[in-house]
Amino acid sequence: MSLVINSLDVYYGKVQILREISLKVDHGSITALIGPNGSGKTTLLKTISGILRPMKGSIKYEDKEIVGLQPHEIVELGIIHVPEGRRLFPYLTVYENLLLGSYNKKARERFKDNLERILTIFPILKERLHQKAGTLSGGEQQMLAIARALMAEPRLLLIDEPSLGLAPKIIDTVYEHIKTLKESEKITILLAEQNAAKAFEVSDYVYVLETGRVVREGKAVELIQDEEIRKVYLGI
Amino acid sequence: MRMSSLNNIAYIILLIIIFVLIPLSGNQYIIHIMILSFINAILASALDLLVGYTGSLILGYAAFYAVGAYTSTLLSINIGLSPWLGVALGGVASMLAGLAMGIPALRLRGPYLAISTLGFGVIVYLLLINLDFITRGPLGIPNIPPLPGAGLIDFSSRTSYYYLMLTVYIIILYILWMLTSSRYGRILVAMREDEDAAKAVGINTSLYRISVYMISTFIAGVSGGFYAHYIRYVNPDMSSLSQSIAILSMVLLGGAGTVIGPSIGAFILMFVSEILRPLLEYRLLIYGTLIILIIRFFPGGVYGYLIKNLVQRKTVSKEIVGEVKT
Ligand SMILES: Nc1ncnc2c1ncn2[C@@H]1O[C@H](COP(=O)(O)OP(=O)(O)OP(=O)(O)O)[C@@H](O)[C@H]1O
Ligand SMILES: [Mg+2]
Repeated sequence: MSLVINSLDVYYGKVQILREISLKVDHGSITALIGPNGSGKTTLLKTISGILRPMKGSIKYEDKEIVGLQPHEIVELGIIHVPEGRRLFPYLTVYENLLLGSYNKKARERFKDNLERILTIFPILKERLHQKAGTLSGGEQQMLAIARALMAEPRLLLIDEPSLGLAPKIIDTVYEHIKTLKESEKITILLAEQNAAKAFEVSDYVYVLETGRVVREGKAVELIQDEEIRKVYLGI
Repeated sequence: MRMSSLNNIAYIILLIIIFVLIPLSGNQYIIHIMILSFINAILASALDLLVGYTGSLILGYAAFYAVGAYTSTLLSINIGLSPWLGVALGGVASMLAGLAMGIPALRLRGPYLAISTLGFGVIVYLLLINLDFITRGPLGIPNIPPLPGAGLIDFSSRTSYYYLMLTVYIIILYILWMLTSSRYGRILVAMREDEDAAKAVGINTSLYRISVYMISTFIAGVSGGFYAHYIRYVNPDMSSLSQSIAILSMVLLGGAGTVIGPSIGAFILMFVSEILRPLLEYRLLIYGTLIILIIRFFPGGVYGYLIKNLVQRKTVSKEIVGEVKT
């Protein structure tokens, strides 16, 4: 197992957001978190990457407890978070964004090689290399956000709502890339996605969150057969 | 790109030549104001590291200037320490004060940070007034020893002090320029733009925030020391709110987040306030109005305005032409 989470409780101030969350992410898999607005997907990813601290529970990455580590320490372990809404540095160029992505020491030493490799995965960014990130289209920004994360040499990638605000065709492109990362780069991926149909299509395993709890889980191919899931999340 | 950086170097050399020539006019009054302008330009550039590059609104910044000035003054008067060493230790003392303010303020942002730094400035001001057995309170400390000469150079002469300050100013601006155009500067800008995103790429944001506080306040303390050994008199007004607002006005007027902007602001304000000396009582009112007007009409300050209207117009039209062709 890459990631094992056990009975996680997370609060914003006095308000409890996540309740007794337990989940596992298998090496080399794509695991999806789906659920309606406010169900706690973003909160969970932020907790894994150390931006939020849980009140209770454990998060083990490669058998190492990571609760209590600083965000930058978690990055050094190889867990990289692509935040919701892309969160680029808009006034820096595409190149500078990628440069900052390889902030940690190990990745910095291999910056040139990584840059070359990542620009072949995302050729569109090569054309835009010296353009300010804020001037990219939504789809390009999402690619850059993922590319920037790749520059840090992740082994576990947390991607929050990669489809947010994108046209269906662009969503397909972004997900093609995400599948490539799993298949040819051997990166384990945990993603949060409101677009349940897309999530089922690309992922191996799915967790359904509602008001901060895991209410259903299962292999994507099995869970998608479920009547209730089809009705509520896929509208079929 | 290369052309414009060559141009920049040409401008800088021209500017340095003008600065070097000014004392030859022999006008003591101009030389005096220029010395004060250099000191204030150093101070404003140091503040800009926090305001412009990390996006932290600091309201009590004059406190660091005063801590540097008083430290150097007291060390040279009371234990006869060389003012040169005093100026350096003034920087260190100011840096420690910067840590005392910066560490508790690490979690604060925006208006909360501004208020807490304002509070810090007030505390230093009150300490300088009330610890009168050390600081002589509101009377201030006169007869501060000047910087001792080195070899043939005697810094009690105004002209040689001018060249000293010019040198210090160029060195500090060069350091700031190197710092802000390096990876370190890029990381500060990234943190300013989006702190969570900076964390997400693995930046230890607390470390950077503290280090930039230390660099900035060290420089502020040094500039305070140079002021004290030049004017040879200090009083608590050095850390007053109006002094803090004046430094902030220089940064905003010249252009925050640009290495050269705060200097432009400092030179303009130093000369303008000399001209407006009869209106000294209304200093705060004038600065306050100025800040509002700048933020409303010229958010990039004078430098930002110049760049936008002189340089960018050219490059933008080039870009458009380029796009049409391809
Ligand atoms: N900074 C915050 N302070 C207080 N409450 C918050 C904060 N951020 C999120 N919440 C609350 O936490 C709950 C979970 O939010 P979260 O962003 O994790 O949901 P989500 O599943 O990612 O939703 P979406 O699909 O809309 O992105 C929501 O009720 C939200 O209002
Ligand atoms: Mg979310």
